[in-house]
Parts: sequence; C-alpha cells; structure tokens
Amino acid sequence: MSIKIIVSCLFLFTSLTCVQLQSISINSQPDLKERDLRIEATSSKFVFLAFNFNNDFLEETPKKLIEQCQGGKIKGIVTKFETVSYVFFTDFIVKANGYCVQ
Amino acid sequence: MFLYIHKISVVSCLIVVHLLYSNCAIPHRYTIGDLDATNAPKKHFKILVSERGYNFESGITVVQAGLLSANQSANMEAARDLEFVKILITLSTMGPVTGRKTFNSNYANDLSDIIYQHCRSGKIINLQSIRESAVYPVVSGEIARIEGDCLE
Repeated sequence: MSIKIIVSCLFLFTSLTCVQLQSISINSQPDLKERDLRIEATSSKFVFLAFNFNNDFLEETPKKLIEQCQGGKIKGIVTKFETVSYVFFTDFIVKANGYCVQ
Repeated sequence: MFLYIHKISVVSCLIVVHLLYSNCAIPHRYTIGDLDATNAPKKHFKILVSERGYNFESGITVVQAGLLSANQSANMEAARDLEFVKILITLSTMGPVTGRKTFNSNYANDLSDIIYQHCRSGKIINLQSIRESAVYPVVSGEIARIEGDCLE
C-alpha cells in the first residue's frame, strides 16, 4: 500500500510543472496597415538539472523570424523568455512574434 | 571487488573535476529588437561585458568541509560559527535576484559607447540583448551580451 502511495505521489510530483516568466519585451508597434502578416517563432532547450553549457539556442529565434520574412523588415516584436521547471529538468523557452513588413 | 570500487572512485573524481572546471550557462533575460531581413550589407558584432559574481554561502560551505575533515573540536566550533556567518549573509542579501552577488553593478553602463565603437556608422539592426551567468562552484561570471548587425 505504502509503495503504491509513494509511486503515485512521485508520478504526481513529476507531472507538476512550474512556469516562470523571466522577461518580456515589446518594441514599438507598426501602423495598422503594416500589420497584415504576423509571424512567430519559438526556440527552446531542455536541460537536465542545471547542466547547460551554452545559451546558443537563444539566437535561433531571430533566425527563424528572418526566415519567415525574407527581404522584409520585422517590426513590433514581442519577446517572451520563460522557464518551465520539472523535477529534474528545466525547459528554457523563447517565444517571439512580430509583423513582417515588405 | 576492489577493482570495481577503484573504477567507480576514478570515474566520480573525473566527474567532480569536470564539474569544477566547466561552467553552467544560465540565461536570465532575453530581448530582441526590430529585425531586418533585407540583403543590405551588414557586419555582425558581439559584445560581452561581465563582472565577477560570488556565492559566499557555498564558499563558506567548502571552508566548513575543510575544517570538519580534520575532526578536531576547535574546528567543529569554528564550523558552527561559520554557519552563523552564512545565515547572516543569507538574511542580509535575501530578495529577488538576477544571477549572483557582485560588488559592482556599473559594468554594463558603457554598453552604448562600446556598441558605437563596433559600429561607427551608427546604423544598428537585429539587436539582441542577453543577460546570462557563467556559473562555477563559488564564483560566476555575470554577463551582459549584446549581438547585432551593423549596416555599413
């Protein structure tokens, strides 16, 4: 009985996640007529304990945005950086969206 | 059996040495400026400014471990006194933090001047600012990293 309780507690504990919004930034927004094409990109890194040896995943977000707006400019970008904490793991997530202006 | 234990201790020593000499990179804040996906000629630049951060509590814990390893009563008392110092430091520096404690918060003040040195034209696009820490066992590098492209 006690083993079952321990296992179910462990299962509940591991399935719980805490999300922290580390930072949010917003750039000046474009005119209404320039808001036709909204693009967004996400990049993330799943880390065991704190064994993260570089933050190169952050640079993927602007690259993904630029790929969606070749030859144009991306304005009004909203960037969110959040961490999702599991028991032994942390997920670093960057979400960004903006407007592609050709 | 002895060989097995010996192998485990060698592996654990290697892991400890690796952990001591490698740093963990912790991201804190990240922002992206307006992006330019045109084909205009541009030069990428990356700027890092940093300050040494300290984790006094873990430093004291290392000292305590050293004192207790000698197994003398005087050392036991010193280790207990250091525990009090640790509590004092924790209480006097409690609150929301970004990274570890530094003695100077002015290290990022000149960033705009440094950016201008890297981009004399002043036409800067694709700016990203990253606040991160390179964490070692007791000390850390508290880093502000700026990346961007300079239109020539």
